[in-house]
This record gives sequence, C-alpha cells and structure tokens, in this order.
Amino acid sequence: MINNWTFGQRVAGGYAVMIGFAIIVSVIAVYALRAVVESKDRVITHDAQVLIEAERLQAASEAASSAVRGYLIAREQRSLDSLRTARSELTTIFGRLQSLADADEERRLLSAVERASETHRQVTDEIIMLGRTDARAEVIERVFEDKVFPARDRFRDSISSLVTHEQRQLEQEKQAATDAARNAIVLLAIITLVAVLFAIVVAVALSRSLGRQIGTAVGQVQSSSAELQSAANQQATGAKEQATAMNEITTTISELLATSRQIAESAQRVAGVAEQTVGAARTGDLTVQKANDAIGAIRRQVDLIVSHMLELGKKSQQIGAVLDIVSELAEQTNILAINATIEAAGAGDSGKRFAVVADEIRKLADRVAGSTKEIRGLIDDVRGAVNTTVMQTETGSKAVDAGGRQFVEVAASFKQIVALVSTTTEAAREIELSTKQQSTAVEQVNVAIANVAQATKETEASSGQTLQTASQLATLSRELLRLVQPQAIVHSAH
Amino acid sequence: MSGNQAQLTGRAEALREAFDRSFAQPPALEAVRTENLLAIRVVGNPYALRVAEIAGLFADKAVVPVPSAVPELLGVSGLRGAIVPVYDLAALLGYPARAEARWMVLARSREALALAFGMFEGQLVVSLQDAISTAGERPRERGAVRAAGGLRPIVHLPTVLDDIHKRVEATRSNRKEA
Repeated sequence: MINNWTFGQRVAGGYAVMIGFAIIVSVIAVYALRAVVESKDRVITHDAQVLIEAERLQAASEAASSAVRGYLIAREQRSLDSLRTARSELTTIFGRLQSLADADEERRLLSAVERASETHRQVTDEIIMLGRTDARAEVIERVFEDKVFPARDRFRDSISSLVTHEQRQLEQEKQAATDAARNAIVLLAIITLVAVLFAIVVAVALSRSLGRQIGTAVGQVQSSSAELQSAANQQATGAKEQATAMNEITTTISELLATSRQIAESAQRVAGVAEQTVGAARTGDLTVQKANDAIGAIRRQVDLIVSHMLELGKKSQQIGAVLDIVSELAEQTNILAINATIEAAGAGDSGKRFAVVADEIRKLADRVAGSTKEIRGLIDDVRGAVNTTVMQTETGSKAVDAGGRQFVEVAASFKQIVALVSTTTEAAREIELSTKQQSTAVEQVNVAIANVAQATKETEASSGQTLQTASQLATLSRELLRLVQPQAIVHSAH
Repeated sequence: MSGNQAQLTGRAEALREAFDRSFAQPPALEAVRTENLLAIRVVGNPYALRVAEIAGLFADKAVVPVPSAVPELLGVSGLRGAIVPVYDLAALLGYPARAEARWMVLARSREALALAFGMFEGQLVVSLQDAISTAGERPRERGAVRAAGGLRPIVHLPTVLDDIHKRVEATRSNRKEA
C-alpha cells in the first residue's frame, strides 16, 4: 500500500509521524508538568495549609490555656475575653480544618483533637467557675492537677499527632511530586530518543524510496519523451496528410453542396409533377366512374340481348315444329304422288297424263322436302348461332362483370394513387426542405472543415513545438536523474 | 346473309316457273322408254323397286305382330281397308338383323302382301339404257340401275313373293305332316 503512495504522500506521511511523536511528547510533557504542578499545589494548598492550621490550632490552644491561667491568677475579665477569643479562634480553625480534611486519617485525628478540645473546654469552664466562687487555691490547684493538666496534655498530644501526621503527609507528597517529575523527564527523554531514531529511519527510507521512484519515473519520462518525439514527428506527418485530406474534403463538400441544390430543385419539380399527377389521377377516377356506369349500361344491354336471343331460340323451336308439319305434309304429298303414279301406271295408257301430273306433284313435294331440309338446316344453324351467341353473350356478360370489378379495382387503385401521390408530394416537399437544411448544414460543415484545416495547420506548427518540448523534456529528465541517481548517469554514460 | 336470301328467292322463283311450266307445256311424250323405280335402303344398302310391281307406298303404318312359323313375317297391318300381312324385306333379302321398318310397299299380286323396309329415298325415272341385267347370281335381284349414288340393285318382287309363297306352303305342309 505504501508503495502506491505519491511523493507528497510519503513526505506528508513522514512529517505526520514526526508531528505525532511531537504531539505525544508534548502531551506527555504537559501531563507530567500538570501532575507535578498538581502534586506541588496539593503540597502547598492542602498539606501546608493543614499544617499551618494545625500550628495555629496549637497556638490557639496555648492561648486558651494561658488565658485560663491568667484568669485564675489575676481574676481579670480581660483573661476571660482572651479565653473567649481563643475559643472562637479554635472554632474557626476547626471549621477550616474540617473543610480541608479529605483523608480518613486526617478526619480521625481532627475528631480526636475536637474531642480533646471539648474536654479541655469543659474542664477549663469548671475551673473558671471554681475561680469565680472563690474556692481555695488548693482546690483549684488540685482540680488543675487532676483535670486541667491531663486535658491540656491530651489536647496538645492530639494536636501534635495531627501536626506530625500532616508533616509526614507533606513529606510524602513532596517526594511523590519529585518522583513524578523525574519519571516524566525520563519518559520524555526515551520518547524523544525514539522519535529521533524513527525520524532517521524515515528519512533514510524516504530518501531511498523516493530516489528509486523518481529514478524510475525519470526513466519512464525519458522513454516517454522519446516516444513523444516520434509521436510528434508522426503527428507532423499526419497533420500534413490531414491538411491534404481536408482540401479534398473541401472540394468534395463543394460538389456535395451543388448536388444538394440540384436535389432540392429536383424535389421541387417532383412535387409539381406529383400535384399534376394527383389532378390526372382524380380525372382518371372520374373517367373510371363514367366507364363503370357505361359498363353497367352495357351489362343491362347484354342481359336484354340474352333475353332476346333466348326468345329467338324459342321462336326457332316453334319454326322447327311448324317445319316438321310442313315436312310431314311434303312427305305425305310425296307418298300420295307416288301412289298416284303407281295407280296411273296401273291404268295403262289412259293414266299416262295423270302420271305426268302426279310426277309433277311428286317433284314439287320432293323440292318442298328438300327446301324443308334446307330450312331445318338453316334453323339448326340459327339455333346453334343463338346458343353460341347466348353463351358468348354470357361470357361477355361475365367479362363485363369482371371488367366492372376491374374498373372498381382501377378506381380503388386511382384513389390509392391519389393518396400515394399526396404522400409523394409531402415526401418531395420534405425532401426539398431537408435538402435545403442539408445544404445549410453542408455550408456549415464547409466552414467547419475550413476551421479544421486551419487547426490542422496549427497542429502541424504545434507538433514542431511538441518535438522541441520533448527534446527539452528528455534533457530535463536526464538532469533530474542525475540529481536523484548519479550512479545511473555514470552507468549509462559508460 | 343477303346472298343466301337472294339464293332462296331465286330457288323459289325457279320452283314457281317449273310449276307453271308443268301446266303451260303439253304433256311430255316420252321420246325414250323409261322405267319408274323407287329408291330405297335396306339396312343402309341402296336398292330399287319397280313401280310397276307395286300397288302402293305407305309410311308409319301400325304393324300388329302375329305368331307365325315364318320368321320374316312382321305382323299384319290395315292398308286400304284390308288386313295385309307384312314381311320384312331385309330378312327376305338375307340380312340377319331385323332393322326398323318404317316404310312399306303393297305388292301388286294376287294376294295382298306388304314388304317393310327402313328408308325410302325417292322415285327414280330411268331410261332402260341405264338398267343393267344381272340375272343369275341372286334370284331376288333382277338387274341394277345406274343412279347418282352408283349401281343400285333392283329387287325383283315377283321372285320375292314366290319365295314367300314357297315358305308359307312349306310351313303348311310341315304343319300338316306334324
């Protein structure tokens, strides 16, 4: 992770560690000074004060004893006043000592002093009462010996014990403060030594690491500057080719601009033609509708023709029936004529004239029969023609229907053509508009290409500057390498 | 169409002239000897009958079949108020299948007898020069006549009637012997 740190990060890290050590040293020093000061303050503010108050207590007790003795000796009110003052002083001192006492031993010794003081006060009050009653000196002396002196001694002893305790406490606190100061000094010296050693290690490591890193970077800068030189050369070549290409692009774009204008004009003409086509298609639609009506009329006529043809066929059948009768009559006439001929033949010479007439009748009947055959043939032809005509008319009617449907499709196609041509018109207009926009865009592109060509020339110039800068960079990197790794320069020189 | 109409009109005009001419001209005396024949077809084959051997021509007459031992007898028919036996000419001429016989002729003979055949084509008036004698091979056919359709055999009705009489007689004698 540290290997990935930058130069600044490493230096900042080293300084941060050093600052950390300085802060630790300062904190420890401050803590040690505060501990020493607190010890000394405690010695001064607490132990010395308690000792002073104990001394004052001792002095007040002595003053009280002196006032009692003075009253017993002189019986003066002034001694009682002194006694009251001394007792008041004792009460005040007791109050301050109680506020200062913070240890159990101190409170116990102070309680013992208070109890001794109270006992001494009761005894002194008793002897003062005796003195006011004018008791005898022996009694007073005895009370003195029996009560006051022991009480005074206990009072003194208790105060002495307190004083001794406080003196001992004072000495202990002084020694503790001195020890704390000494320990702080030793700790500070050790930490300072450690910080100095760490600073030396960090300085050496940073020097080696940064030298190696900067050397590597400078090597890379050298190779990069060489690549930059070749790249600058290539860039200069490329810029020249780009300038040539830009000229060709400018020519092409000029042609493109002319073509776009031609397209716009063509699109305009297409739109005009499309509008004319719409008109023609609408006219064609009307024509198709008229033709459709005409086809309907033709269809009705065809139906009428079919009806007439069928009627003609029926009439032909009727003619055929009549012709059958005529044919039969001719046949019967023929038979009669032949029989008349036969009879005439049987009549001999007298029947010859009858035979001639009969023969004429027979010939006539033969001709009638022949004519009926021809008529039958003609009627058959007529019926065949009628059937053919009916079939062809039906075929024609179907063709007319198909034509009508095709006309409907043609009409639909014309409508579709109208719609499509409208779409074409819109598309042509859009093409015209788009082509105009395209022309504008191409002009803008032309301007931009000119700018690019200018930029290419500038690039060509700047690539020369880049080449020069790359050379200077290579020189600088060698000098920098010489600064950080002189041995590398020597090796490379060799 | 107009051409056909003109043709028809022309034919009608020719008919009318021929009809009028037949009444206007004197009776034609035959310069050459002619013979009247009836052109018929038996089972599709052309034949001719001499008018002189015929007593009458009939068509579509009802023939009532009667049982007979003579297979050529079709039946009997009422002709000119008499019941006349009708024989099949095709069978008599030796044709095996009995064809439809719409026409019949009444033979000129002692006994009334009719012969039925399939088709009557018309009357032929031919000169005797056109008649060819071919007697010998077929006894029922005496000669032939050269007409428009080629040679037409002439059926000799007396021979045919004799055959019928012989058959009838043979049948009667067979029946008597039986």
